[in-house]
Amino acid sequence: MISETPHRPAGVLDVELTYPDAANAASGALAAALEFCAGRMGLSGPDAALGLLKAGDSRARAYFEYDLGKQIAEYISALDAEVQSAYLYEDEATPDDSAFAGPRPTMVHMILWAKRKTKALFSVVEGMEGALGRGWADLIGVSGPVHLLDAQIVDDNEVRAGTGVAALLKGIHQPPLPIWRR
Amino acid sequence: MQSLTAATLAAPETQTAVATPPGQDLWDTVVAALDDVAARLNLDPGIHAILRQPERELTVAVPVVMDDGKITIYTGYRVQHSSARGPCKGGIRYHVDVDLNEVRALSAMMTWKCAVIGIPYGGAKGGIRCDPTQMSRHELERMTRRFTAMILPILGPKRDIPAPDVNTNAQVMAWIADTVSMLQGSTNLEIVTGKPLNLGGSLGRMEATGRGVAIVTSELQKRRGCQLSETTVAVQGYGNVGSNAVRILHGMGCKILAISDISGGLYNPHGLDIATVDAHIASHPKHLLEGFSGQGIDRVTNEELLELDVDVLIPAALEHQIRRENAHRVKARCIVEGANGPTTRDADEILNDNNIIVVPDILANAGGVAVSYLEWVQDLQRFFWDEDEVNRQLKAIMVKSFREIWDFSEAQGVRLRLGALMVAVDKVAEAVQARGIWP
Repeated sequence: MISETPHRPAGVLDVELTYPDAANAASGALAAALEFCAGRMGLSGPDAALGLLKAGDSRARAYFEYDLGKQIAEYISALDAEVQSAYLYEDEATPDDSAFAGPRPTMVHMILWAKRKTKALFSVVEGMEGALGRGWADLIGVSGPVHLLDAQIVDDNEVRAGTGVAALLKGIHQPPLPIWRR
Repeated sequence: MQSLTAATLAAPETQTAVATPPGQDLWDTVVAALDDVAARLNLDPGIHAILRQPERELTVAVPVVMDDGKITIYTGYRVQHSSARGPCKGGIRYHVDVDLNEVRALSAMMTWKCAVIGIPYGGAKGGIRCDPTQMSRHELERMTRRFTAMILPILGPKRDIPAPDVNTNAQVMAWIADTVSMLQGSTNLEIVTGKPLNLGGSLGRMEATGRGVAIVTSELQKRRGCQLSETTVAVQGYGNVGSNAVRILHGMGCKILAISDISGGLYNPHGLDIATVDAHIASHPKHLLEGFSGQGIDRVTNEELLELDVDVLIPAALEHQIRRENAHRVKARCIVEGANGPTTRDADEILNDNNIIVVPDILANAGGVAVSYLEWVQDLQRFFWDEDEVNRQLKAIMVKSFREIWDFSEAQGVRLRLGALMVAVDKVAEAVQARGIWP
């Protein structure tokens, strides 16, 4: 339906666009990631996956973090056109030390490569970080603050210069895993 | 938006075109460094030519029956750069960007690393071009076992001993060991390192790299005539390497002025209370330094930490953190590289011009490889040491190799990075020379 209103130029479709709010998106993503993890691990269901994650199982963590990261990247990029690609990375200095680090808490370490860093993008990311934390706290039965997403935003300049975490994108020792691209 | 499969995900790239694939860049860099060292050592041209290319490269097609019954063919590689000094040693990585040039370059770097610390290994590396997150646990196991069978003709506890690398772990090593054992009709746990403790793994592995960094730092300060109790340290990165290095150096009496992780850093010119910091991290929902506060403690960024005025700076986080743009602002008297490749070549020149001693990654973070060697030794002798003995052996290896590199570099008037590579190449060349060329 084409409409013309005082606030909308002629010819613009009057279509109401609804994005899921962060809380719903987070709880949906968590549920889907647990299902994904259970499927990949050959478990009886998401509860079994949650149990392994609570126990710090590294393989369960990898599957869960991958699927959750992919969904989060899709959600954020749908809200912000600056985001061009997303990656998951290991927060360890050497790859064999990632293997020997011992049980670690579940945490999605993500690099979001945006054309530009904007306040709007940071807001979207912070909103999702908070929503995921609350959703995860509910799932694991923790009353205090919990975090599940550590999203580092890098821009073209940082990738070109290889500064900070952007250095990983051209790295050879701990290459990040590409999970989404526009 | 693209849908994601292993086939469509390409290597990370800048928004502008990348002129050369990273793997090729790395191999060219490795060869260039070898050529430079060969000239300095006046290496026999024939031996130089031998070292300039891997002994053996094996590319295999790895068919895997997926859970849905379909067959997917993955490409796997195992490159053995040199076996002159002993069986080849190197990790196996599972990643979408694995390519032959990258594996080739990393295999050569393993040759030098093993030679630097004097363990009787050559260098190797392997990998499968795949996305392990797209595969179920059973699919990963089938792929691992098939890959193992495909490269088995060149594996063996006295031929080539794999280890974990990117996206592989103790479980993958256990599958490899089991596959070899089944095919050979006997239990051969010494075929890989990085195994679980209940399957021939070694105590002390978890802390090994960080412990090695601490030992090297301690030796460095001794050589400089500095007391550890008066040594100030800043560590970028608080993962397995950084946190263990901090804990051990603190135990040795060093003053840890600053540490950082992905959330930023903490700085106290009078020294941080590491026990309190560790307690904060343990109770923090993200297990980060974020939110820690205390009297006399300032927040610093990861970049600012690199520029602090300390005796020893330990980059133990990511690659390429000290670059041309910030190297001139580094005030540390020494740098001990806990991470792989934290300093760019441009930065190295600037640091050298500013008389900053850099202990290169090839030596400083070799503790992990050293304990991998000790795991293999224990497996071969079918006798396992307690953790104190492993740590004692590790210390002996790291101290001896540091002293050797330091003395050589001093005698030659070269920086430690070049000295380490010269010592490594010379050792491998000597082994090639002694063995002769068969037939």
